[in-house]
Amino acid sequence: MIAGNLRYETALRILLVFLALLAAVTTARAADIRAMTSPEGIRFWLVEDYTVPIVTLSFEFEGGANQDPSGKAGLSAVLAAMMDEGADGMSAAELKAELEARGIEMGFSAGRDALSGGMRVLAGEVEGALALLGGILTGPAFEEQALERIRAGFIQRAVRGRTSPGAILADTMRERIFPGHPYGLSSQGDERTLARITRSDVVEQHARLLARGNVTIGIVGAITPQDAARLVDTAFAGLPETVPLATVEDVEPVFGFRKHVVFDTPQTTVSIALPGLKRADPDFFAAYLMNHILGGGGFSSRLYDEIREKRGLVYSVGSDLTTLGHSAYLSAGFSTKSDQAGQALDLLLAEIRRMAEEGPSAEELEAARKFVLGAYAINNLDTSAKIADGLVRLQAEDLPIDYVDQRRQYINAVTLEDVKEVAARLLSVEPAIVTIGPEPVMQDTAAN
Amino acid sequence: MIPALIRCREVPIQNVRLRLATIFLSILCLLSASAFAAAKTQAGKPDVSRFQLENGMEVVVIPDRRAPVVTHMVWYKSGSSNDPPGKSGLAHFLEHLMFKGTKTVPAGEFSSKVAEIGGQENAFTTVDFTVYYQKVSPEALAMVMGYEADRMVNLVLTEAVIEPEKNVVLEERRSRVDSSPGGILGETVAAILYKHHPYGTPIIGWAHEIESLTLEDAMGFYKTHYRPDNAVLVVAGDVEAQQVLELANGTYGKLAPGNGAVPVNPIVEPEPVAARSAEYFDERVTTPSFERFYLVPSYQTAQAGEAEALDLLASILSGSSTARLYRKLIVEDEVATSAGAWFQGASRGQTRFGLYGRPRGKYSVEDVEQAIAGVVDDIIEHGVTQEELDRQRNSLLKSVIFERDSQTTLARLYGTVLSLGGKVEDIHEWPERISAVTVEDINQVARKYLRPHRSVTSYLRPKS
Repeated sequence: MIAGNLRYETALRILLVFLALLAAVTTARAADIRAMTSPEGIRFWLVEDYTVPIVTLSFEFEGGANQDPSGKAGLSAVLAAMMDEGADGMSAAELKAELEARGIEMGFSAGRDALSGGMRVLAGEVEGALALLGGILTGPAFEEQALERIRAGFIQRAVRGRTSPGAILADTMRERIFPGHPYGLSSQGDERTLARITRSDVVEQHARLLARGNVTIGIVGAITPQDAARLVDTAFAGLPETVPLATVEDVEPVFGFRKHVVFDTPQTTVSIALPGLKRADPDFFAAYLMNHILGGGGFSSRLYDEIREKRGLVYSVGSDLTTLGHSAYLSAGFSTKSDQAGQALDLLLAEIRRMAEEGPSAEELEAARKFVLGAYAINNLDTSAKIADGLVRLQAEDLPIDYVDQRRQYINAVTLEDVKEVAARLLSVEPAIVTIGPEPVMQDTAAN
Repeated sequence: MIPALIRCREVPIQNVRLRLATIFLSILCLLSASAFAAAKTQAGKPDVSRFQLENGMEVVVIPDRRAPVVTHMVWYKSGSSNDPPGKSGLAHFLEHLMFKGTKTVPAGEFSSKVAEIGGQENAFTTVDFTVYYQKVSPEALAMVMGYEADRMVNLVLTEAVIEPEKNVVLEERRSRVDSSPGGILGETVAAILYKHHPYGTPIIGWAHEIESLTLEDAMGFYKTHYRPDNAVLVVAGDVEAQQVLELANGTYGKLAPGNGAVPVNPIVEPEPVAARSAEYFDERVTTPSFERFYLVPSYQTAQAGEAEALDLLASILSGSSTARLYRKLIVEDEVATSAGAWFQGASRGQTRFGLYGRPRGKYSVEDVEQAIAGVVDDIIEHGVTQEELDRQRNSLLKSVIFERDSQTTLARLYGTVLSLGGKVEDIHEWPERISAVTVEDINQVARKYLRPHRSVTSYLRPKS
């Protein structure tokens, strides 16, 4: 599977992908990115590279689960799962046999803000592969039998989630920090919403999301610019020009509440949420560096040191900045034996308070800056799929092809005062805290 | 369906696919059967070099010059199956303790140096080997090799680090096993399938034995198993072989070989004689599931061609959406929401071939069991067809080229095979051996190994 499942939820990580890509382009031998336009006027970015005889394609259509109609949460995810279930006059079985015979790897997934797809194919099969993709995008069969099969699997997963502490915690947090907003709904749906989805819903959602004017495309590998341009048309030119997407409002998450879910498990799991910043915010990179120091740094963050390394209270602890198309937040959490969950949560909140009040030290900031600048290529440049995903993210965020230089400058320009200011601003807010386990960790409170 | 054999010290949070809460739940670092089957197909013959240092350490270099990134891994050919009796979890516990500093390097310095350049690092333990790795820029390769060579022989442990780290491992066990009904049942199934071999004991260890592990236990395992003549160095990425060899000679090459022969685990699993089963009821289970595990030979223990035939048999059963189990159970009969088969070929000793399924709608787990048995019996009785063999073989061979797109995949492939006692040629000749497998070869391994007396069947059921 090439396409990521929850793209916008990992937007920050993916941000690093394209920056990494650009870093390599400017510093190493990686091929240039070309900004191209097909004969039919479809724009895409290409990295030509013949080291391995394969071609990797990544694309996304704006609008994913945030376009699910009222009461039909999960529709975009079902649509994604239905995409390769027959097309262009071929039954599902025939299409899958054809993809397999040609060695074409293809996948679709729906995130909160986009319907994504990816394909990887041997260079010699690229013509046939893009023709098949064209058929899939413009003429999917959406067989009833396939819908029932996919629905059964989705419902089973949703039901399983109701006894999974991690899933319950995620659902509870999402519903409470985004009440009344599409982000508050599950992108995978639940038993009730999935049961309502009909074949005509799937057909309508397909028409609602897939258009030439709505797509972002990245291609990496053994293909000439001329062939790439021609084949982009083969795959995408048959789509309608534009589609009317429903407007999604920007939303500030709700914080300042505490909620415990009683569930009999050997560990209590704790998740907290605080304000984040969108990438376009001038203080974004200050916040990014601050998060890295607090809990984003793998084996070397403050949360890791205090809660795992010094005291052995948890196996895993960390924090993350999440950037969605229409919102942002910072989250942190861990799992631990229930009788020490309160102690670990106190430590977590104390570290957040300490960061809010004092900010990082100059040494911590410099270490974080070095990490962030060095990590791009290492994390994100080693496979074609990651590079192709990076090309898509870069275009989807309307960033210039030489953005890496600006980005490096932004990171270098962040001062200790900037980080202290942003830490005080984001971390002084009363967090949303959701816990799950056999005993309450603290008393429930409602948001103000 | 995952035969979990690998456990990580930690998964860097930023690499985990994020949901608000799930990021904090531990993520298994797995070498699944199918991943290995796919990885094993790598044989497009990248320009691989192999050396041996004078002290016996093996070195493999896999250049990939597309990006300024290098993956550096050290594989010790000892894992949880080398844990002494009564000390289950020791190999994995030591893996955690390897981050606590050495005679000259304070705890945390190595990790800080890797973080300073934006590198990644981690470690994992399997039944057969223990691995430490870093992913860094090429300029930092000499640095990580220096630190890794130092901690091969100079580890220093104090009582102060033992208890907190033991608690970390116990939390890891609660996350991976106690919080997972499938994990709980899986431990029992392994213990039943292996009536003698330590593969039947959990990698992470039984909780009461983890609690009893001591500093002396850890240092004892370290001194016995951590030595250059029991290790494989794998470097993949933006490097030249000659440069790696020079660096290796200047770091690992300076270490003395261990005293005497490298200790090996002499235990061989006896042939099975009786069909067995296990059933587990748990309130957290909503849909029941069925699994069946057969004791079968691995690439290391099989007669020539048998492991390749088992890989293809697993592919014919569930390698794609045209494979038998998917087509029959999921599409045609609609009795299951999932069904499949896997073969874990990478193992030093006798290994597992697995079948699994989960019922759909009105069907029961017994219906799924019967349907899967029907598919297997059909192969045993009538054999596979040339057409499906050709189709699955082509898929495996094409994936060889795809594997060349990832230096991490290549490094893991070569490291796995060499750590198990294989050779670089085993990887490079794999496509030819896969190409030589016949319909009759597959029918024979199906008839020989997919027999009830070789199996343990497990049922995971809701507790109402």
